[in-house]
Amino acid sequence: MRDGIILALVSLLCAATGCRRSEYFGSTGPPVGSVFRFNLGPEPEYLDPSLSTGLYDARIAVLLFEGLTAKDPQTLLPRPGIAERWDISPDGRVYTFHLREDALWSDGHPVTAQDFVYAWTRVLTPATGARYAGYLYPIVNAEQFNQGKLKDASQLGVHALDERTLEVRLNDAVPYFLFLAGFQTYYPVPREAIERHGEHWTDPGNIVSNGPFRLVEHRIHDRIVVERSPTYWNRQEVRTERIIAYAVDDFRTATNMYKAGMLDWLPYPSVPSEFLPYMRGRYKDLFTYPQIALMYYGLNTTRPPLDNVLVRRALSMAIDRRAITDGLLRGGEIPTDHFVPAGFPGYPPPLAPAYDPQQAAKLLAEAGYPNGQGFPALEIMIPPDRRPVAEAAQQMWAKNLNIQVTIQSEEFSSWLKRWDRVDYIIAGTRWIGDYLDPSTFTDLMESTNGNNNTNYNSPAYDHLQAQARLELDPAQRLQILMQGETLMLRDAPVIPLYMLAANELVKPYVRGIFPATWDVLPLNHVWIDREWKQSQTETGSEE
Amino acid sequence: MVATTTFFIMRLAPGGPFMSERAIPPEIMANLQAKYGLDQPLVVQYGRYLKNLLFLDLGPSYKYPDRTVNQIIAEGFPVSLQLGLAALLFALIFGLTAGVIAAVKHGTPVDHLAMAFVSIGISLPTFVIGPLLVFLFSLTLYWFPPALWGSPAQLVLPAITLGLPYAVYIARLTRTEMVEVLEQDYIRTARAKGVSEFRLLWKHALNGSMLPVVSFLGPGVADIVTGSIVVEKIFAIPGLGRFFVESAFSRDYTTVLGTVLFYAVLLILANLAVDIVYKYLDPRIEYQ
Repeated sequence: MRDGIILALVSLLCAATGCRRSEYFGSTGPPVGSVFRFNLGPEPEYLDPSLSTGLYDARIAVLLFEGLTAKDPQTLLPRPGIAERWDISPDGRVYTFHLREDALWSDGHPVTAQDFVYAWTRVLTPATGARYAGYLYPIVNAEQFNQGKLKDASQLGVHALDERTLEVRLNDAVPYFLFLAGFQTYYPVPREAIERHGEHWTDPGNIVSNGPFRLVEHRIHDRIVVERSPTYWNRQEVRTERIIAYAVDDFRTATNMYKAGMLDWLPYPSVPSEFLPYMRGRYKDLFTYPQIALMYYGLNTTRPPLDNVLVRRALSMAIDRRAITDGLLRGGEIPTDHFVPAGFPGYPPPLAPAYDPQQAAKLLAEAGYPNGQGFPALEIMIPPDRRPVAEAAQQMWAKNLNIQVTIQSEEFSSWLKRWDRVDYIIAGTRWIGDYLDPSTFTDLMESTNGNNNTNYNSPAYDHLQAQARLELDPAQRLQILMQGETLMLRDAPVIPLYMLAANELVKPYVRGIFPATWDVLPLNHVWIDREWKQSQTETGSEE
Repeated sequence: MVATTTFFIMRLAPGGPFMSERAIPPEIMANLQAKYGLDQPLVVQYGRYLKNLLFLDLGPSYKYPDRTVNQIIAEGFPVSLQLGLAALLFALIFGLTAGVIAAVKHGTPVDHLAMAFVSIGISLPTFVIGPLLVFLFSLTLYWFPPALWGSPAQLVLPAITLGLPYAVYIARLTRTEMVEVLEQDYIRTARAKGVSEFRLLWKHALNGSMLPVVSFLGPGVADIVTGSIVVEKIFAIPGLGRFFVESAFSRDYTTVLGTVLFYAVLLILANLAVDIVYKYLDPRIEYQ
């Protein structure tokens, strides 16, 4: 209802103001002063990087803190951060990081190897209650310590050899460890400030940080204001004095703010999807980047009739992904039959069951349900916003397999609980990759993984995964992972649907925001180009 | 009563404050639960909550652990209150003026026009009025900012959005009552005594017509101050109403409890205030 009204308003607005003539969505006047304003999305839960979890926390953490490595904003590959260089042992299990001399906290103290030992030990201490502690489990004894089975923190595989040398011992060779080392859970935290202020150490005035910006204001549900840090080692690279991150969780409101010129950047997921078909092709400041993120259906592989692999494969092959992305969603999503999204360097695409309605019907007949006869009623369980896709799947299954599927829409927390307990038959879910390595997806389907949630338990798959962990040759390792994915997709515990896309609005005068498959980016390079109109005129395209 | 009901109903809802789409290993979840005492029996948790409540300590928010619920209320409520008062002021000024004018011009096109406007105002929900105003005054005319909080200009649109349904209701109440009062003997007497028409209307007649308005205002004030949830969302205002709804969805038990209790107290106080004002406006009312 509300969507319809607003959409009507947007069109009306265009009729009234003649925005058909404008190439950009709304005002194109740059802000006054060296300031960059964007909408963060909902209020972040934690400013403490050791505790932070989701996208919104991470977006702030990357402004205030920096880890041993940092993401290059263009290539997204790890580059030196607080560590200026590192050595890796031949077996890939021991990393020695050399910290740079000019790395300082915002109170002027140097960032030391001991700060990292303190931060990581704190993350792993059970009483800290860090939700992302699992990201540190590749480190020797981290898991045992976090679960209280080991009390002695000195047995953790992280040691300060001296002020500026940090040695990290891993359980296995982890080819993506340099990515992890730049992840927020691995950031150093200031011991003194934490011990003095407790849970309130992240309040403005209390906080001590080591990143490109420092916190000056935090109004909950309103805004977080940061300023360029005078102590950051790479401050020459930082081109904006001040960044304001608004916490506007109503994305239509955020879009109004962007249009009225109160925001310079509207990152994912702040552009409402219902505006996209209207905006696409009309405005030059709308950008779409496919993400390393997958929307898929989880199938409960132990509940009949889905315990039959033929049925699962039939369901998967009866879904026309392209019709969903191009006909229904139209938000730049990319249809896929694969579980590992495209975009991982060097990863060969696996073989996967693709859309083939005849073959699907044949499989269902083989499973004992010719033309859907005798097939029990199934239910898709989804949170409310995934309903349109579920309705499309419902129709495709009815048309291609002649089976009836109902849709059960649950409030998000209830949905989560049932998904977590595997208390469903078919569930609509998604997964967003954490680092640029296919294992961020392939790990998921291991029988022991807490995010598997399909009861999929394949010893062959688990074996391939274990084998890949021991493989030191990168190309060979990816090959093994791909074999695993092929095997898993043939077992069809999941129905991959499409890769999510990030749609963003970026004002034409903004520089230093790069297209990315990732939604957490350092903003060191961002700046406001006040001459942009001039350069536009020179190339002949006037607004 | 309110605390007990909310406490237990909240726990009946599936899920918990630390659930996320990304599964947390059971051991880490146990660490978290232990940190906030959620691993203890419900009765123990309840007892501890009541004990803290005695000292007006509403506990830490589970969702935003660097804030206590007391802090959240202290930061959010003044914003909601300011918004509510501005909306109320608008509702009163607009409503009384429109009501009086309509009553005086009773039966004329002015009256019909005013009442048509009232009907529209009553039937349009805030989530339609809000975007309409934003569209008109922010995105077309560029008179007022479409969102956020802090400057007087940012107060205008949300106050009108929030106040409009009350304004039109007050207008209708005032008009009905006023039309009746204007027929009454004491008005005729006053007029005969040569009281100026302005004074007659705004002092004698209005005072007499105020009672229903005041009795509407009682719950209305509480409503307007607590009912700003939708408006706060549309205009991205960091008020308390947002927490009220959001905390229930995210199972932030302490925040839900804290805000519910706070609003309950507020409602009781608002109703009490109305009873007192009643007595002041109409001395005939006796309290037992």
